[in-house]
Amino acid sequence: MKKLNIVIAMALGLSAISAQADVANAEMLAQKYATIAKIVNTGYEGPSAIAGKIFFNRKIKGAHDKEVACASCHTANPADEGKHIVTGKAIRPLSPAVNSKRFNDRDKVEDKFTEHCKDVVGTDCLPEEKANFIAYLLTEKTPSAKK
Amino acid sequence: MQYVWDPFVRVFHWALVAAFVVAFYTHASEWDRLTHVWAGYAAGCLLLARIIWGLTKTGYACFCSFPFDPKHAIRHIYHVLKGNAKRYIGHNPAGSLVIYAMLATGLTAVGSGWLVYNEGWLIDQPDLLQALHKYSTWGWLALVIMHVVGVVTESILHKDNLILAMITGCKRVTRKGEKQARQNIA
Repeated sequence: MKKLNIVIAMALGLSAISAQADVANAEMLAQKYATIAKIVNTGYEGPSAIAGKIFFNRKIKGAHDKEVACASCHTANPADEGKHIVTGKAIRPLSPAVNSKRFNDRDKVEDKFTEHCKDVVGTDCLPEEKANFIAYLLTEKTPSAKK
Repeated sequence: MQYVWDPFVRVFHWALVAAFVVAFYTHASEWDRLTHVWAGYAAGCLLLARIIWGLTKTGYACFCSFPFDPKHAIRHIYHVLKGNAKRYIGHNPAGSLVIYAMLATGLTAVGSGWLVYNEGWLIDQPDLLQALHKYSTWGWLALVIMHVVGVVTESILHKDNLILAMITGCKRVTRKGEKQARQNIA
């Protein structure tokens, strides 16, 4: 029994380390964007989860006639599975704490930011908006209870 | 004049061009995702139909009229550069190679796109599939450029309009061409 406990503890410890590593990548990315943001905007104080949350939920009438927010597809809780508003397809959770594949690959993150910012805002987002965005996603760790 | 491309081949060719252009133009935006997907599926169906046609038909549409032969293709390029290339009424050996490459990359692009769109279905490897879709489509574009360069080169060399031939189905047979065609047989 003691042995089993040790094994379980080790397994939990390992999973905690790997989960930490995934989130660490996202944190590093937020800091990278913040560093760039500070060069352009000297008044910027660093990633703000609150500003990120407002940005995530703000409906924007961009290049298209429809008013949309990030939350339109990713839902108000990015730890939940989303739903594409055009195709109706399911979108895997965006929060790095829930989905370890999110915010891992820097090039991919930058590509997706550029594409999706063009879709929603009409132009690429600012580095500070990207830093805030990731900071906010890092705070959303629990999927909503299923109805 | 010689009748070369049957109506199916011509309609297939320009429909595939249209599907490719639409899919390419709509690839980045999520707003256009459905258009992109349907253009891709259309391209996939066209490719499959062309393969069935190539396996069942005779004449210039048949795969047997332009075999897959890399060695022969390299030799043909060498002769084009030397300026004494044979004239082929259908695809020349280098062109044939590009055709087969386009068929293969096209099917890869459509197949991977299908799996990317239906994420989690059959092969649940989004990153791998996205990379495959990206590189196969850009590879396909590179092959299309090679195809167009080849068409323009051959049009100049043989003083024939091959683009027009894909619309009317007929190729001009010049006296020089006829002479060469006879040499090809001899």
